[in-house]
Amino acid sequence: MNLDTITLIFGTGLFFIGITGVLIRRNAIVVLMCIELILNGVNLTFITFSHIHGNLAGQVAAIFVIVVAAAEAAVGLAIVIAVFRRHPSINIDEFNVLKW
Amino acid sequence: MNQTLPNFPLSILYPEMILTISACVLIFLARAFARAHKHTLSSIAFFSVIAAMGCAGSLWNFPRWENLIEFFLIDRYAIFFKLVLLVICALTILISKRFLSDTDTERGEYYGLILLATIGMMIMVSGADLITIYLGLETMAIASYILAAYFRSDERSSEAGLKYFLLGAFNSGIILYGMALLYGATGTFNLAEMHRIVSGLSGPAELRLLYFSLILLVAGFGFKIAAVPFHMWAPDVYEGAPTPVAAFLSAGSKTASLAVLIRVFTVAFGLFTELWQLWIAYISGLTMLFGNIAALRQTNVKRMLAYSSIAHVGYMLLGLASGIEMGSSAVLMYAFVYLFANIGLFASLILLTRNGVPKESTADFSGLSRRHPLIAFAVTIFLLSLTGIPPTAGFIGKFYLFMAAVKSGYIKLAVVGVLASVISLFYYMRIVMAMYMEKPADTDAAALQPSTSLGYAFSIMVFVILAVGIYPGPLLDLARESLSSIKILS
Amino acid sequence: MITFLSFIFTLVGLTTAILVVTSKVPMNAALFLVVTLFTVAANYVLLGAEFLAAVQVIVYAGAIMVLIIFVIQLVGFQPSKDGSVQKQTPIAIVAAGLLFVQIAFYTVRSLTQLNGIQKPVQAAVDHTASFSQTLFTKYLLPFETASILLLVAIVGTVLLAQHKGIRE
Repeated sequence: MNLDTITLIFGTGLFFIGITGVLIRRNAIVVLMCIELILNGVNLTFITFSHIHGNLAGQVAAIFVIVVAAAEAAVGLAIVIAVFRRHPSINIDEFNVLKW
Repeated sequence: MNQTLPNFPLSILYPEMILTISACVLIFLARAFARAHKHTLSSIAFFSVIAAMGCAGSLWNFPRWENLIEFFLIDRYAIFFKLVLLVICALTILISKRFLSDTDTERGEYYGLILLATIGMMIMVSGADLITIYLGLETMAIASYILAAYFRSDERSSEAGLKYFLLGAFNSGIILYGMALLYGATGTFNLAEMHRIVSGLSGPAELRLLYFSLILLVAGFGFKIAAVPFHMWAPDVYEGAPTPVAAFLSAGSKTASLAVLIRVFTVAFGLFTELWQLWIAYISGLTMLFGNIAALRQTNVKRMLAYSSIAHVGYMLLGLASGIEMGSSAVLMYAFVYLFANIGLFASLILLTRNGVPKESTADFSGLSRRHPLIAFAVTIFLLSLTGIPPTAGFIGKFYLFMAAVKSGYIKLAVVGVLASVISLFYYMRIVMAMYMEKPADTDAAALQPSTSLGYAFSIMVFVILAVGIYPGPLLDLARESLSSIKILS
Repeated sequence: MITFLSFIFTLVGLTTAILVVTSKVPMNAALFLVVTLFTVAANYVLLGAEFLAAVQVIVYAGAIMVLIIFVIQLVGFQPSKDGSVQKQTPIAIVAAGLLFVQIAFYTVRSLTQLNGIQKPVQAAVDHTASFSQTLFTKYLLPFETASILLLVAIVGTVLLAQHKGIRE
């Protein structure tokens, strides 16, 4: 077991834990956090491969992912607030105007 | 340090730059001048899109610069899609004005976000590099989430925004992981370089990595273009989003994602062509059948249009499955042809909307021929084009798609496609019947006056559909030429 | 030593990640997520990406998590009811677990081949300098695109979260 193997397993693990979370949780904010887990898993994979290949492209990708994650979180939380103003609850399954 | 800034003429970025400046003007000046100059907002947006179109068009004969700029391609393929996306953007602006002023929500930010989303799409189709593609994709996606939730006071709109956001962000994660595995197998993000490295790969584990990344990318892009079984979000989002936004998303974000899908798969996964073509063929068959059958049951026209747009993605995938040569150029053509009829129908929904009260059921179309014969004629043309009946452009598009499928041996799939078109005839013709055979539901005929911009939009769309339907030669050549530029790369 | 540290961080990180998914109270999930983000940052340092580790701590664990916790406070605690977990839970877990094992197995297997072509990281001199060199030359256009993306996010957030409705 070397360093790359361990971090790669960590990244893959985060990705799949995140996916499972998105599929099984219903609270919008928790789903958002699971999406952050997915993005972190991806980032760790990028950086591990960057380490393996010895080029910096993977790290550049990772920093862009962080930028996008920040933008996504801001917009997502704004939407959650907009929805929350109308509904006192933010559990996804309690929306039934449109079928889920 | 030996790395220097790539040296390239700035003119290749003019279309994006014009739109960026215009979007900033719309967002910031609109705040400053408040409501006094509302009518100028849409004109600023519209004319900047026209200017961008001119700039993009003038790059058609531009020499290829891929050696200088590794991350941004100006080939004919990219320019073709840029022009298509700009047309979509311009039409969306034309049809938005009436809808927004009716509901008193016309704001600079709306047009600004439409332009910014278009910039994202244009960067996406030019991306020669997975990082560029990803950032363009996210710019488009984030702007779309906001636009879908634009009517914050409307329950359906903010809910559509939330659903679109959660599923879209989840999906971007999947695409991104696919890209990470691709990077892991090849060590580069550049598509052309990837093509070179992939052809030299032999280790079974590396091929397995590529295989996984292919699965993830098919699922991810399948979601973006709303192909079955990744389509669940589309009907809800299109129904809930403001009508012009739904038109923009169903035409624009699909076209851009399809363009990227074709480029990434033909260039980076050239080695796996047979494999992914088989998958795409299955997805295409499922999508055509499911989209049309589900559309058959809808009474809400907006929801029906959502399912029909799913079905049309199925037709386009049919072309993609049948090979790069003929099939993909048919896809390019169909993407162009489809947008007019699709946006046209959404525009007719906008026309029927009165004072912000949506009129979206089939019954609301009844007697339209008596209330406004010209509009009824236009809607009929759009529906004929979507069904694929001559002399409309939709017929030409479908003809080439099915022909390509038959030539490349997907005869069963072509039969499925024809069957699916027959199914679609039922629900499209239901609207035509309502328009011509039934009496108007309400006699308030005077209220149905299209605004100037809507009128222009309608006449442009009808003209293009008929013109391409009768004289398709130039468009076909254009599509072929665009596609040949992607082949040089691979 | 490095491998051992990485192993510890990975263990902690994966455990807290599972706790993010399973905890019933959103605030607990957020706090566990902060721990996960820190362990990821620690692994970045071990992999030689110090700059990214700093960004991870400042932007992710700092800014984004503060935002999330702020919104959780704003909308109030919502201890989820039993119904907060969906019906397909076991299937989802099993499917994700199987895929994880497969992908992890093959990525790790491919490592043995990739390690053969391993080159030293370009910038033994100054890692952050060469990182920014790459970012601002080769990836200049994506960088500019990121600024457009942030503009979209700013405009959108203001538009959606402002108090007065759009239909005044």
